[in-house]
Amino acid sequence: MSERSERRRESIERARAAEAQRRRERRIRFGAAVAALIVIVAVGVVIQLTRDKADPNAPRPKGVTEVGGGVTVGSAGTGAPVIDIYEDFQCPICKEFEAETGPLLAELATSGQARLVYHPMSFLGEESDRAANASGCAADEGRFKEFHDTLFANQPDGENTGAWTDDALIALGQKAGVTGEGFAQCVRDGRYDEWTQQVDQESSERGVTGTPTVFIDGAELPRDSYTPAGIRAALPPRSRAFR
Amino acid sequence: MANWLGTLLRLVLAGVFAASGLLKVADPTESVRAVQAYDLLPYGLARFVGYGLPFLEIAIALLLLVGLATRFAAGLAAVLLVVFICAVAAAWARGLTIDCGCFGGGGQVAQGDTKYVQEIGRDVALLAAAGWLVGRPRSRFAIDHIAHQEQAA
Repeated sequence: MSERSERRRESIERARAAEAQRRRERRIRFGAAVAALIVIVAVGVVIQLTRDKADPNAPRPKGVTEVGGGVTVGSAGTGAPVIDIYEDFQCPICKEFEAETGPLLAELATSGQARLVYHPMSFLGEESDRAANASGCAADEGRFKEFHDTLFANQPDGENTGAWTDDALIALGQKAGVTGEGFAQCVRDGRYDEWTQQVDQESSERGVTGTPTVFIDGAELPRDSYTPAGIRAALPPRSRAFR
Repeated sequence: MANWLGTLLRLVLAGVFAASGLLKVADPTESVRAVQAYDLLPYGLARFVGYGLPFLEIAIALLLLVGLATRFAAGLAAVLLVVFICAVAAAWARGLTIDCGCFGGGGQVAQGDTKYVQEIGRDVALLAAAGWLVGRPRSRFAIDHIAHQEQAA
């Protein structure tokens, strides 16, 4: 009798010890999992921070003063309203936007009523990168706007079709009157690849999530105002009176 | 039998999370833009999420793959999936036209190109899988149960 109860107590104790052991193991596994998670995420964030960091000394096209800054077009003075335009050369809606509002924007720039700042983004793939780099090269020759217009006028049907090779972009440059000797070399070297990346980052910082996106004197233009009338209405009253 | 189902669900979830994480890691700028497109977080936070989320997904995938702390990993996956579903639903409800950026990409798309129904549907299905593993984390080929299986043998 007493031997049986003794044995039962022993088996209960053994079960209890096994249960405690199992619980300990579970705690260890949980701890290992949490540690692995934290390490992976922390290391990952650090890696991405480093990869995404702009090198302030990377070459920038002529006239671009800030890291990731856009290309200014027009001769308007410092008092004139600033129109920031974020576009991807491969984006079909940008092409439509250019077709509709391009003439007005050009007029505002040449007449000195507004300063245009073009930010060539490159989030639609390799050929956007290449086109944006080439636009920086054209800016060096003082022909950004001409090249920009030519690219949109000759936008391929579809993205990354293989149409915009370096040679094709150089040919389009010639069409736009970019004849300087350095242009072809600059396009081939991808001299402004890093700049285009920085333009993308700056746009991200500014909350640009699609193209085209337009800011007038720092205020984002509402989506329904991407028309000549919409842009006119958004300009400050003084410059509106000019027209 | 149910243990094998657990293994299958673990591997499916691990595969989907690994793919979504790895595809996003390649382009950190794009990843941040995809988060920003939801218009829910300020830039500083969106940046942190854009950088960190892909790695969190990869880490969860690894845990599920080897079956370490399965209930915890599946629970975390479920929490993330609920967050994703809410975020996509919020974008939809506010009339945004974005790609969820679930597997890289993301950002704004044309009016007719949104896929909110498919995106939410997929996440709900994955949520069901994660829910099963939270309720019944036991499965074959899991570190969690190696010691146990040996004992039983």
